[in-house]
Amino acid sequence: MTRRALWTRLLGLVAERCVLIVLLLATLTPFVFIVLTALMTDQQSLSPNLWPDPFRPANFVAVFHDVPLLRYTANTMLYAVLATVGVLVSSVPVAYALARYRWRGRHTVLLGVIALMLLPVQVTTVPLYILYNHLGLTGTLVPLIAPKFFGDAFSIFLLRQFLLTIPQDYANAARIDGAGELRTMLRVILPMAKPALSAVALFQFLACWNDFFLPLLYSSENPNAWTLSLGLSAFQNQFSTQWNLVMAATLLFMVPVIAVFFAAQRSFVRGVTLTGVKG
Amino acid sequence: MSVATREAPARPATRTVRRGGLRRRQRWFVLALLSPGIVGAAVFFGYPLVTVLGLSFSRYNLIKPPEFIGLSNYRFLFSDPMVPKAIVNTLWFAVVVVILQLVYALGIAMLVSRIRRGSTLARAIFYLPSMIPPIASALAFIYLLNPGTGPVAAALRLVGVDSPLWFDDPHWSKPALTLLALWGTGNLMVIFFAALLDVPTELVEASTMDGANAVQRFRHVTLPSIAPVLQFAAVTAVIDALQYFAQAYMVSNVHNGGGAATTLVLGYPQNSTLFYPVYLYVQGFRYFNMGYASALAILLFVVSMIVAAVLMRGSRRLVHAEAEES
Amino acid sequence: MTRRNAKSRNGFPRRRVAAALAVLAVAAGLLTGCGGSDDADGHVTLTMWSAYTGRELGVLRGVLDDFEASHPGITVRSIGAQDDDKLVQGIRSHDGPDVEWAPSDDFTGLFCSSGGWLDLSGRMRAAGIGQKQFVPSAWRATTFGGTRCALPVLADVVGFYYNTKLFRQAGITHPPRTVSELRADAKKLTTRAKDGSIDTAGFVPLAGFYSNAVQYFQVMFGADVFDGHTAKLAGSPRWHAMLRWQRQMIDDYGYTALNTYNARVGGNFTASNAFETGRLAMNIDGEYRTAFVKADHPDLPYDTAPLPVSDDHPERYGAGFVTSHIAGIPHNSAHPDEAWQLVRYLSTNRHAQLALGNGLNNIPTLTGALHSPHLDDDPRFRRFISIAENRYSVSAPGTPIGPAYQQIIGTYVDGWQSGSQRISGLSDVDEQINAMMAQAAPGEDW
Repeated sequence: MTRRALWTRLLGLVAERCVLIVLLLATLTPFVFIVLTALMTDQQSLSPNLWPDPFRPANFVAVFHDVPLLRYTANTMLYAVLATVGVLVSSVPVAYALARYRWRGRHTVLLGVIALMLLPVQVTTVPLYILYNHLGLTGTLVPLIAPKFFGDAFSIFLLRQFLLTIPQDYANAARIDGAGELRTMLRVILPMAKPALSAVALFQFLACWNDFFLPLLYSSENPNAWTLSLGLSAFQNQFSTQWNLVMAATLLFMVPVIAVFFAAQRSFVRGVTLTGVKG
Repeated sequence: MSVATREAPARPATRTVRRGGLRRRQRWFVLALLSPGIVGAAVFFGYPLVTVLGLSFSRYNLIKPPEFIGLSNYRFLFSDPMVPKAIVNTLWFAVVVVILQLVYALGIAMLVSRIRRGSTLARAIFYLPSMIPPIASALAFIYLLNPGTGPVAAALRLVGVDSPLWFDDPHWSKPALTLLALWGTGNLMVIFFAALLDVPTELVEASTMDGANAVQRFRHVTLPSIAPVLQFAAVTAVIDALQYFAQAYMVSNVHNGGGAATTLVLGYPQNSTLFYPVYLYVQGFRYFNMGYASALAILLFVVSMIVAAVLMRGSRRLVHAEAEES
Repeated sequence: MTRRNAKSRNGFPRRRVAAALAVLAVAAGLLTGCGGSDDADGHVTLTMWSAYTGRELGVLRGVLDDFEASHPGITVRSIGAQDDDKLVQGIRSHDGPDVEWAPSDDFTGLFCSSGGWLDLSGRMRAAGIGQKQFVPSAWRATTFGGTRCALPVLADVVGFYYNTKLFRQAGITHPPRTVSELRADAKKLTTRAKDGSIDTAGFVPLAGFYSNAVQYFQVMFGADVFDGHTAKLAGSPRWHAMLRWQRQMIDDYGYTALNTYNARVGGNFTASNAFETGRLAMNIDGEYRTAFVKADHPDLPYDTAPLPVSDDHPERYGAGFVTSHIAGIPHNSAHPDEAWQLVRYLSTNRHAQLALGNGLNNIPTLTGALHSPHLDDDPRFRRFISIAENRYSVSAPGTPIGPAYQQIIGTYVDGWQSGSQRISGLSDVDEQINAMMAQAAPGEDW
């Protein structure tokens, strides 16, 4: 390569790296400011100063004091954990049936699953709300959790895609060894699907933790059933311009998610990859 | 676990039938497996879809019994000035923002795929904002973009520019939401990254040797290879746009500084953040015009099914894929 | 036995799954049913919703404690921070509140016409409660279309606050009585920082700022929304005058400068409120502000006055806007009789009215309490009583869609303020409001 070509190549590389670094910094900056603001005093958060002086970690304590944060967290955990269990228990069988057996109508069912995956949630909320209202279940977490025990389209799809990749040899061998269908499923195939299962579990947990629309719809009339997302929204309503407190509350809401992410990073990335690549 | 080979001792003929469908025992098993899903689909999708259609022909406020009014809701829908606004806002998101998201995510994925050290960290950093609860990130951006006291305004002042009013200005509120959306496209970036890694290197090398430049390489080698992933990402992004609610709700909620109102003005400022799902919520769950909200829901249903069908065209592979046989 | 940690199909130990499902059952049971309840001995717990928070919620609690003391067998659970959306939702839920306190009479039309709140006329007649006991505008605010579904509990009166020290410094001797005086005074009282941004604002003419509402500007000009039951803003000279005045004042400051100031000031109901901290010289606000100032900034040099009025109708000076708080019983309450006791107590018990009036610095709606010597005698607070009783003072009109029409007007005014709307846009506003009313409640007699 000529000298000139080498130079252009080098400059191109440097430019690329610079852009990447700028974007990385831009992505991190909001987090930095959230943390900084969470440590500021009242007056400071309204001033253009960017560095807290003095530091006020007492803001976090104040947030716990001002709202029943523990109850909201408990509600959110309840919702997320139970929904995740429900999704796994109900979606895995459906995905298994779709992926591992040949039966008439399975393509139609799959199309149906895909259609439901792509259905905006707001389409079904009006009748469901009316139904729950008549059953006296609004203001509780039941409308949020119960449907998860009956299958989740996205999870079914994801699991089906993964289960397709397991060769039939294993099941055949198990059958020949005398194992029944259930046993084959539980002892042979599913243990091989652990990456997909953990990805689905992680996604569902995260989706519930972050959910705002459904709790707003179903639990807002009973503050005892609020989740963290509703709590944060109400907190902001009450403390509107005390940005230091609002950012402290926001941070408290975000931290568990970030912690889970760093602990389960590999699973996450693998899971996200599973959704797209096999499609 | 031993793997049976073709030399395995012969078993009774009935055992190894795979063609011609399932045996009876398997059939029951499959039915059992599908049962929670069937019940779920019937109760949580079938029933509501039928009911919402019926409700769209009535007036119902959840206090007095429903009252049949024929096509009146639909007539109002076509004359309601809020509906076109909501549709335009949502379309804008579903088209402009999705395209920007795809381009941005692909761009970052390409940049990250070309570095060796630190790519895991870079991926983690880009992915992080997409996991954060949407209302938390919306609140963060409201604060950051505050035209009086926010850091962005301070930075702009440093270069002598007046900060736009962002969430208080109807011309800037959607761009601000776009920035928020771009900040959170880490999930798309990760799948593009994985797809890029899967591009067959032989093809890339062959095309380089044939004299192709970067753009040509991209168009003829990379793009076709990642096309399915692109399509999938586009579909999910569009469907997310059609359900966009939480961030719009938060952003309308905040009147920077002032706002003694106990009544939320959703769509603030001037209906620029009134997205279709938000409007549906307003009609159904603030005004409790459940009949009208049902009509809005039917329209949303029709549009999203059309969009899904159009975008999913050509994915028959997806549906007809089967587990490999030996 | 090798099955101790038998795994279920998804890889989790079977016992844990069972435990989780048990938790679900328990939790579901716990989380349903959080409304009023009965003990075996007939003790009733009522749930009451209001929008109050913090200090104000504490004042309400004090009054509720007195109620409990005088009504043994009834306990009241008070839940605050319930905004309008939640109040509207609450009348439809099965575990909703037994009593709702709405901070404005905008909802009378909505609650009465929809049947969301119980009709109380029968009970009122039986208890001998009638018009004579209440402030006239408050009484009017609780009827709609022949149904009386609420009782007035307090009134908020909107007037004018000004900082006397800043006035002295600027050489202004009396609060502005006309909008022209207001404009001139605002110019004199505004100070700018070096970069041109507003440091201290004389007056903020934006409709979304703090307590500013289009309705209050309307009072200043005598502009109404409805002519009979039809919205008629287009072609109304008073609306034109009001909008033009607003445009002039906004242009005096610069729209962007005003918004930047707005984004910078402290929250309306916090101790950093701009008026209370001296960064705002004149402000439209309710009588409750006197309580906030007393609590947070007792040394603030301020006084109150009626709202300035349009130059061509100086006789209207003294008028204000009266918003009545109303209390009612959602139709699905399990304890309507006890709830009625509470509503009646809050509305007609002189001691309660005085405690609420003094604690919240609101205007009692019971005339007996209004004219009581025990009511806060600070002249700055008492001024609001005369404003409330002024013949030109108005309240919001009741409509079957509640306050929804205000949002349509508000959106238009937002556009007008930023320059993207013209006077001709008023006819669209009329059309929208009328269409909305026709769609929600066609032909309903109100």
